[in-house]
Amino acid sequence: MKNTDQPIEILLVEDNPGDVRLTVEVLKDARVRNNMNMVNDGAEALAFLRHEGKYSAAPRPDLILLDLNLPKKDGREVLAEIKADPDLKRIPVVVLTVSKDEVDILKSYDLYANCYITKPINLEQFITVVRSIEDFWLTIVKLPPNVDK
Amino acid sequence: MSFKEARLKDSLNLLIIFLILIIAVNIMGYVYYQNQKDHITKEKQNELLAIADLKVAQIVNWRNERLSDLSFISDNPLVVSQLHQWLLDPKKNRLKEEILAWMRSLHRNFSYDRVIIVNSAGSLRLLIPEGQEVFGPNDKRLIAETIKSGKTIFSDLYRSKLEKATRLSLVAPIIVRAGQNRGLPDGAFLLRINPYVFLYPLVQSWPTPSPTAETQLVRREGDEVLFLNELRHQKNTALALRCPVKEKNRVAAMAGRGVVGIVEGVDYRGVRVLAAIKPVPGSTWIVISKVDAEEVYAPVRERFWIVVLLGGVLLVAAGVGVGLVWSDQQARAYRKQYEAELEKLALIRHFEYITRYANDIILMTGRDGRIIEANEKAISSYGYTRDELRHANMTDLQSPDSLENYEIQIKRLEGSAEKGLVFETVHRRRDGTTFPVEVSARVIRIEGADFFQSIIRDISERKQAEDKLSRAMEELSRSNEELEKFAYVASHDLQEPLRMVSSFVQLLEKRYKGKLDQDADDFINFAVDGANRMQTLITDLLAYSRVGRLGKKFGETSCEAVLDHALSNLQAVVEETGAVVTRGPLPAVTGDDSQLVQLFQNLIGNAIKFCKGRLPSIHISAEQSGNAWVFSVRDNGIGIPPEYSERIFSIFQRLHGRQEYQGTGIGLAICRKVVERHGGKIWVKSEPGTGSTFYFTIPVQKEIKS
Repeated sequence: MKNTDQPIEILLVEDNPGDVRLTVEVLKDARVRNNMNMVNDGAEALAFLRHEGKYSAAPRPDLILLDLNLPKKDGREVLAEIKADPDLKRIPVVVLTVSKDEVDILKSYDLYANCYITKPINLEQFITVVRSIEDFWLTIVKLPPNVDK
Repeated sequence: MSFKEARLKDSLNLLIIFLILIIAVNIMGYVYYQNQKDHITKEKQNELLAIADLKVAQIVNWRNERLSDLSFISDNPLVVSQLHQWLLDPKKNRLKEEILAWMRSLHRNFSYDRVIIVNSAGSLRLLIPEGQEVFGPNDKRLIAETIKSGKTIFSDLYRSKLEKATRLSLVAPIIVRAGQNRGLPDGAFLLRINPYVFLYPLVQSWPTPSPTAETQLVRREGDEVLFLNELRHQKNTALALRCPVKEKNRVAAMAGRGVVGIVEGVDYRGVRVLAAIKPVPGSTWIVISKVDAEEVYAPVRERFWIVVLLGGVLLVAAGVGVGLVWSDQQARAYRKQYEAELEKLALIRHFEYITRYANDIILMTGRDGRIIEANEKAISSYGYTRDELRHANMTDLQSPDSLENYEIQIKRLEGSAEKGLVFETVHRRRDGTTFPVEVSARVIRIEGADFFQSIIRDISERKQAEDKLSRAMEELSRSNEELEKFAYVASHDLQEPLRMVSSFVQLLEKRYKGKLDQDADDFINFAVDGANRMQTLITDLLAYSRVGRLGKKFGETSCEAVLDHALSNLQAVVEETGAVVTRGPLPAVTGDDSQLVQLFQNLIGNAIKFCKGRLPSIHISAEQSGNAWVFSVRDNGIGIPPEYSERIFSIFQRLHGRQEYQGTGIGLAICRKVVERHGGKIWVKSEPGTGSTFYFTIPVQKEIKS
């Protein structure tokens, strides 16, 4: 069990700086202390997770917030690789997307996304969603990474 | 019955009629001729009999007269006494003169040839006319007989050898009667008659004019018959001509054999005659009145010829009549035939023209596909000459790819009960180019043999048009698809920047509201409002694009459940406005349930929205009309002016300002799209200020389409 004083490591995979900033801003007010790590595309996300290149010292995230529409490697591929990697597959992944397309939804679940969240346009809704993620993933669920440690 | 047979029958009927006429005329002629013959014969026979009777009567009469002449002397006592006295005393001259006076009167008045008185010795005493007289053997015998018997004798005709002529004598005795006793004759009184003077002309005279008729006087002498008078056709026959009694057909022989009445036979000339035989009473004479058969039957023959002529005329008339009828019949028949032929010809010409100048190819083929006849269009379409076509087979006209289809179609045509069929295929011209055709083939059965008639239409233009249309449809469908894709992509990609705008403006509002001045607050409000509206617009646009793009497969859908779902989605707004929603029974249809939910939701949502202060009252119902369910959603809202009742279903069409009613103008466009995808129609009837009723139809049995 992680020390609750320690901030949670969150990896935000998002190419849209607006969304990045928004997510950061919303999480600033979060009840749980967190440490945001941000990458811009799928390739970087995987490099971060595998401590490759400049991410050799990167922390292992407790939660991945993954946008589906990414340059280079898109979110679906990233999700598939994460879930295919025995070291990474236990990290909870929350898919963030503007798409309501059922195809995307189904594909995500097929790849064992842990949660799926449509990015709401309304800020209040977004805040509520982010809060609920907090509640769900950071306080209630016992996170598997602790077992590894 | 053929024309020839009919004509033959008519002719035969006429022939039979003609034959019957011939027979009838012949029978009539024969009967009439027989009748006439009998009549004429009978008449002639009667005439002959009458003449014979007349002759007999005249002869008898003449004989009686002669006898009475004689008895005038022998029975007159005065005369007898005078003669007696004179014979006793021949010197009494006065007496002699008296006697000579009445003798002269006898001779003169009664045409006796001789008036003679003899004495009992048979010697001549007195003679008138005075002169020489020598008695022949006949006279002597007659006188001797009379003196001996004292009886009057009327002699037969005899030939006087002295005079060499035929004579007849009457002899009476001169006896004086004294009381009861009769004494011996004192002498005899003899009257000699020359038959040529009266008897023969009497016998020969014929009461009617006739070229051959005559009367004969005969008597039998042993085995012969002796002609007593002079005959009409032969001279010197009196007491000279004889014929044997046995001769069968001789009329005179028949008379000699005692036949009486009418007989037919031959006369002394050997000519056929008709005769009446009558014996003269008190004598050996027999009267034969005869006439040549030729003369008797001349009128009969004449009648015969008249009958023949008449019959001939009748027959000719009948023949001409029948001939006229026949020729009329023939003429009529020929005219009829001619007219029929003319009609037939016209019909043939008519069909020939139709065929020749038809705008379609017309081919007649045998069972084996051999082309028998082709029209002008065929020649121009295939590029073959008529001769080439007539030597070609249907298979030569098929494009290589359609040969197989041709075999199949021919089998279909032959095998099935179908008498004709229509199919499309591709034909080949002489130069190898091909063109699409529509073939209408038909079996024509003529006396057991099958022929095919194919009417072939070049459908190149139609095909091109069809292709064009199909390409246009494809184009349209692709452009529609692209439009939908565009709408989706646009709305989807628009969402990203919009989200940025709205999120950050809201963040701005959240952090800085009341911390800046009033203007900043207003500006932020406008920005937030704009972002919200744009978001709604994009959401609706996405929904609209999804109707076609992401429709589910149709399935059995309960409209009750659909309405429940729609109302549950609208629950918040229904509760907020206090709207009253009622419904009639709703059917189950074949459709896309989520789209139908959206349809009801939009319609009811609109009904609630456009109410303006009134308590919304909405009724949903459905009823079957023909092959479709007609759904209606009725409200008590503000209504829609009739001029807009079409336009409201177009996308982005709004009737009201934003301040009045929120909305993007997409809701009803979505409704129309959903209804049309289900094969129905949507329309509205409305009375502004009172309410509107939206109707839409969904087919009762709609084939499932994706």
